[in-house]
Amino acid sequence: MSYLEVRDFSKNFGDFSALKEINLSLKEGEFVGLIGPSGCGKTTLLRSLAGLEAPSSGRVLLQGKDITAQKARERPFHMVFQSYALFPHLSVRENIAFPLKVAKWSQLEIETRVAEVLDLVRMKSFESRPISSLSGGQSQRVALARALASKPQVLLLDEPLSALDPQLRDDVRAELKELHQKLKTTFVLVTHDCDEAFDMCSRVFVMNHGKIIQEGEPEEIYKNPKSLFVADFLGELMSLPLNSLSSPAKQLSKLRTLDNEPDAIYFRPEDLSFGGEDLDISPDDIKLSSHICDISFRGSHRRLLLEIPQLNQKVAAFDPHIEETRKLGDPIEIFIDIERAFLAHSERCQ
Amino acid sequence: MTKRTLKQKIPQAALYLWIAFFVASPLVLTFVLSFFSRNARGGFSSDLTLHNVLQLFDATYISILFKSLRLASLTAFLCALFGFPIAYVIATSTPKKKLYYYALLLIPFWTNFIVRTQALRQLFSPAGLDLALSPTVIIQIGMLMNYLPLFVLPCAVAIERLPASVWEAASDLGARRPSIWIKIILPMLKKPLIHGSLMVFVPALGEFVIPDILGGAQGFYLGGLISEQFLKARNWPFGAALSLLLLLSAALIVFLQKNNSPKDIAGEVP
Repeated sequence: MSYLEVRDFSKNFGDFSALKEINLSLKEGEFVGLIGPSGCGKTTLLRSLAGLEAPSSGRVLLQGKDITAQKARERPFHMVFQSYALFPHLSVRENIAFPLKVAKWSQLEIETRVAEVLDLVRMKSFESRPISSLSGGQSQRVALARALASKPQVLLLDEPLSALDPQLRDDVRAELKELHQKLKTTFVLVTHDCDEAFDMCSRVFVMNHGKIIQEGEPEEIYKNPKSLFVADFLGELMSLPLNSLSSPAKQLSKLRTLDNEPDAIYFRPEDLSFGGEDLDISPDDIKLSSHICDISFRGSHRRLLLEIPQLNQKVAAFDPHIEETRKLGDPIEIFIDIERAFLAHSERCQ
Repeated sequence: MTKRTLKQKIPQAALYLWIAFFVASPLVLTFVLSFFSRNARGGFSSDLTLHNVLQLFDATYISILFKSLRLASLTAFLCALFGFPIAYVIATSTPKKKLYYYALLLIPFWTNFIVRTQALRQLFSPAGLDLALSPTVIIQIGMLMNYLPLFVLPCAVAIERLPASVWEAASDLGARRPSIWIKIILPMLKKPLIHGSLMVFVPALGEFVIPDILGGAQGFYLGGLISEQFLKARNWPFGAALSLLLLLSAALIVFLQKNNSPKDIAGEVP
């Protein structure tokens, strides 16, 4: 049986329907991600789980029990807000103690628990600090500690990394993952950054226009997107029109197709390999000749921008070789991996 | 280089000149004047005396000072009492309604406040209210009416700045409405509430037109006393001494408030 379930959940704001018949089911202790472009309804869905938005129709079930009518304060779910929403007039300790005080814990229990969660987020020495003296990363840990203090059954995270410096994000990602493994609480993360969701979540739900359009493990949906929209949202995607390719029909028939009337071939930079050195080129791979029109150094690899003169189009590819052997203007043969590329109709991106 | 610094220096100098001319010099003049003597023709002479300052401690004047302090603090309190709900409604309404409410609040300023106050009197007399209510009450109503926007405006701005997420977070963490108000919202609004009250209190302390129009003989407060010394009794040195008293009382209240209110949290890093 699923732990947390959302059934036929819809939410309208006036004429605008933010969520359309959402169905979602989570297992206990899962770390799931809701991803999608801005305005897709992911935050509304998270807020609905928290009880901050009442549904226009539909139900929310926790362990089979209908909790749709429960208000935010009654639900055993706590949220880490994007802006952290810490109480600026209270100290770190008082912020964390707040949910425990309103739940009428004893003074001794409160003290023990505050120390426990502060330890959990490694903020023990900040206990009596005022909120205004904290940096972004520290505020985030306090917000996390406050949300975890009263042992919620589900922790809701609204874009928790968006307000942090890029260097800090990787650390916090690792810490969130570690925290999840330690606590085994169900985590629901909202983000527009696929990288973040892929890294932390065991399952992701891709949303667009108020609907969940695909769900699954990160690797599975990355490799097998059900629609062009999902493929495009999850990573860099390039296309070449089919009518411009001189490949035989037999070769193209081996490609996956997302719809009935494909008119273009889609692939990612990592699906391209270079002639003359890559050993894993299959005889069926689509061969194109091009020349290098831009090289950008990215640390672990180089990103090449390749111009295909016969199609008058540019594509990007990754060159894992760090030594500078290729130069601008060099001709280069490229192969599109037909195991990974796919066909689709180019106007079906939405 | 020199050009640039000159460019910066000119507006700075203008600002200092402005302050010196319009703020500092009247204060210094008032201070000096209060130690001068009155001369026979209603002017003043530079014979130094403590007479004016000592006269302030006369029981009559002390009682007028306390009467004024009471009027000003009661006005500030009433403005806060009625102004806070108004400010809250304005701050939490839709942008379109907000504009409308702000306009309603500001339109009275388009008429002269003497006219407004006079109109209030006209409103009271046919209804017989001017006889039924004591002049003090009528003055208080007039003060409330005129000073209310001074409280509502800054207070509404402060409430508007409260992030909605703070309320939501408190509610998400299990708090009910009353405890969100008491433990989170009011403490967060403490500073603007105090500042708004001072915005009312300080000018109300020197108010003399409203009590004069609405209270007649009863409407004699510190502000009225000062204007009388300058305009009718022609005792400028004593008027100056009274002004100094007014200034010091207001300054004392502001100072006490500053020392009692919680220190700026940002400053308190261990």
